[in-house]
Amino acid sequence: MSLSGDAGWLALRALVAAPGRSLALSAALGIAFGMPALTLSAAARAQQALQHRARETPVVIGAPGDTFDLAFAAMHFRPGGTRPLPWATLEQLAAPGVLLAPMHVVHTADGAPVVGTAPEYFEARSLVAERGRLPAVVGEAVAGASAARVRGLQVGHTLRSDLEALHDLSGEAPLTLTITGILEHTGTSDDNALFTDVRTAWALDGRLHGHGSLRADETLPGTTRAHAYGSGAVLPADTRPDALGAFHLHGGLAEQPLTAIVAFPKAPRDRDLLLDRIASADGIRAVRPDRVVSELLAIGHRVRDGLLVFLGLVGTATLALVALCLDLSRRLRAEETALLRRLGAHPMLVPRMHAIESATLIGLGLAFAALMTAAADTALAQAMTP
Amino acid sequence: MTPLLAILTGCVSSPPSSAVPEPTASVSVVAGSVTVHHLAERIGAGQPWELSLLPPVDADPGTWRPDAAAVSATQAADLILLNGAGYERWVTTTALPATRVVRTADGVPPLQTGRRTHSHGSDGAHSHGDVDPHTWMDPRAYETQAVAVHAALSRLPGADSTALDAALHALRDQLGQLDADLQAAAPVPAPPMASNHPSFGHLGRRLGLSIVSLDIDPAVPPDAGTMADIHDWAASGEMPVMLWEAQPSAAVMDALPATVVHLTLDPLEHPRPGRGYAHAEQAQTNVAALRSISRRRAPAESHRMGAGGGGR
Amino acid sequence: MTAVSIRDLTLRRPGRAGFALQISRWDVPRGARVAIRGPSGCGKSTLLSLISGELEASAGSISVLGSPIGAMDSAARSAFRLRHVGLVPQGDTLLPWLRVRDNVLLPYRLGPALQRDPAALARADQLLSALGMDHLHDARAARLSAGESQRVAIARALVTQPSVLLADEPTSALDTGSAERVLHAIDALCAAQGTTALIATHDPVVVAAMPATVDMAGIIGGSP
Repeated sequence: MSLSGDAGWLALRALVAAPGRSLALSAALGIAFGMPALTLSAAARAQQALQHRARETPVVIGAPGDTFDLAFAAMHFRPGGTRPLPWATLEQLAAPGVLLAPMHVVHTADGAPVVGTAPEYFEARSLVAERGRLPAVVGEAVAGASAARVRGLQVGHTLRSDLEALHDLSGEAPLTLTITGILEHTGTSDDNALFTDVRTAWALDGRLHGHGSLRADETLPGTTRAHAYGSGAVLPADTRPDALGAFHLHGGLAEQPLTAIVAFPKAPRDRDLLLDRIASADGIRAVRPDRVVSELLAIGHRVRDGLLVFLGLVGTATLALVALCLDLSRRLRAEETALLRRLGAHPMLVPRMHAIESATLIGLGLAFAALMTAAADTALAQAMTP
Repeated sequence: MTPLLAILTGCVSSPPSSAVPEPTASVSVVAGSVTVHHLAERIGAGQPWELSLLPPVDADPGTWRPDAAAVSATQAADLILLNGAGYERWVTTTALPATRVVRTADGVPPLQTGRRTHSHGSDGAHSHGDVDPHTWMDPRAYETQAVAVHAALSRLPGADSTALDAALHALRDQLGQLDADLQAAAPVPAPPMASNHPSFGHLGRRLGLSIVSLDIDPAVPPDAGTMADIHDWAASGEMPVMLWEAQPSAAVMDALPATVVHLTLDPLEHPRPGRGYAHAEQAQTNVAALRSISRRRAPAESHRMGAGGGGR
Repeated sequence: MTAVSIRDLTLRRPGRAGFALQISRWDVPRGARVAIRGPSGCGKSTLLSLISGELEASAGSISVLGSPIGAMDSAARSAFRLRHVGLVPQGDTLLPWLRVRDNVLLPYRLGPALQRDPAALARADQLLSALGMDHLHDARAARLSAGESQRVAIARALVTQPSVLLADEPTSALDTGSAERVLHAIDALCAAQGTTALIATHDPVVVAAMPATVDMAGIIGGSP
């Protein structure tokens, strides 16, 4: 026992005797402390993820149009919003110091974007299949770690491409994609996509096709009709090896569309040369995602700062309420403290008891805030850290 | 590929190897067909990279498809050389790098052909596209492809440009000579000419010959409809010449009009049995065969001549 | 030797104009067990508060066990009270969020003057038993009746074996039979411990149960 008695014991007994009140107060404190911390940490994580992805996507080449749309379509596979470029552009821009990855992102399968690309994309991003392998032929897809986990996809599973543009039945054909691999987790948008060869994306467009669909009574090996095709009335194109031999492109390769080209220059000089070449070319333009993201973050920072002021006000109000609650509780217990003094309590016992009670509540609140922030941060980190 | 050639080439192990290319740390070049493999081998002789041929040396480019392991290995290659002009049909549905593939025939003016679906041998039906892919039959077109191969190889790390230039120079000389020989051997005036398979379009274009494609299996006598086409064609001029990719069977030759001169030309797609692929050397047998037409245009001479002793 | 000795005491209470307690001289011998009788408002509770040191006299002196209370500072007075005085304030005076036994032992939590030891725990149980509270050791104080609370408060006052017990209407919530039993118990315990007991009351039962009685009027009247 200290010189002023068992203030701690008394304070804790008082807190434990009213667990509901104590928990409610510490939770209120926790939220008041935790929300700004959580906001800051989430904002920092999101900023980190955006900046990391932007840095890892040095140059995006596309047709003239909205800068944000192009940058985000290439970085995060948001379909739509960009006009197509011809494949010939990619061949024209090919140079020893730059790795060029074509990208044709128009379609989805079970809600996941289907990214039509080439082996260069996997090389540039160091994407490797954790299980299985990368796509080798039309109709094969490798799934991002999260896309696979969310849908329970395994190597050998099939899923059908979504028919979105039902109003445009001119060419779009459903295709059964066979999962040949699951990519390692990266903490980037790559985790949420399905990757195919660009030719598969063209097959989804209807630009590359064979001579027929599967018959109504046929299925691909290892699938049931319901599994592979759902209840769709349109049968998917036959992409079995025998049928692939009859596949042909409508129009020349040079005319086939790409929604973007992602360029990975080996050195700043290669990047500058590439940018110069694009600047002097007609009908294409280059976007540097790091600059786009910086612009976006400048807006984001203003939003975050505003939010923090708001959270600060909410936090202050919460703290004031908690202080009022503690004071009210003390007033209600004035008789108890008077009794302690009458019985001969040390003059410092009651102030210490109150201080320990408040400190415990604040400590619990901080612990609650720390737990909340840490849990959220861990979840965010898992989702967004490369 | 014709059944005869398949049997013959299947019996021997002839270079280049058709093994799946192994991914290595060194520079690797993969060729999509025998003809471009030959160019890369000639031009890149002595260079430090590993050169491999993706399909088996005797594969039919119309039906052969690489398996997933072969595709994965090819994706890792530093350079993938294709003949192009639609020759490697498997490329249409195969995931290859976007920027490391060189279609060497891109600089060759395309030669439109009629679209036709047909079958031969045991490999099943296949369809030819709108463009004749047999560019190497024309020495000048093949030279264009050689230049494209040279340019692509010159960009590879560790390339010895002096050696590459010298090798290209020697190859061009040889192709120039072959071209001159073919021009000299071409029959003037040209008789009506047909081929059993649309393989000789580029050769015909180079030599100013009009070659009709009649689509006949060298082992199976044609059906009545095709026979009618053959008779129409054979009646269109003096001493019509039927070009074969492989020696036709006696039954087939007997079925055709007696006025037809049968000439077997090497389509230069595969090495000769027991030998390595040698474009110029094999092409010389075609020179000899063509020359034989000019020599034997007298009516008393045999109507049935063939390259490399192909006559009956 | 006296337990309590009062000389020339004057108390004026601000806000209560005209009210004053004046005692010129009053001595309580050690070991005395006295009921202080008087009607409500006559100053019994005030007198007990002055003796315990909770109230400070405006003038005069109070000595308890020979120590002048007025000369001590606030901390010393608290420590002295905790160590030597057992207090049974009027009304319900338990901490409702503690169990009965913890309420009895509460003085040991209030300062360094007392050391809680096994003997104290044993005494707490004995006192509860003597006051008829055996079955409620672990009950939460909030659940006790007024009479039970008073008995726990008495046990709390006696557990430290004080030299002086000051009890203000300690049986006000008890029926006559219970009050008699509790008072006999108090008397017996004080007698056994040699504790001086001053019990302010207006209840004839208390008066009858205690060995000695003094009128509040007599204490004041003893003034010059």
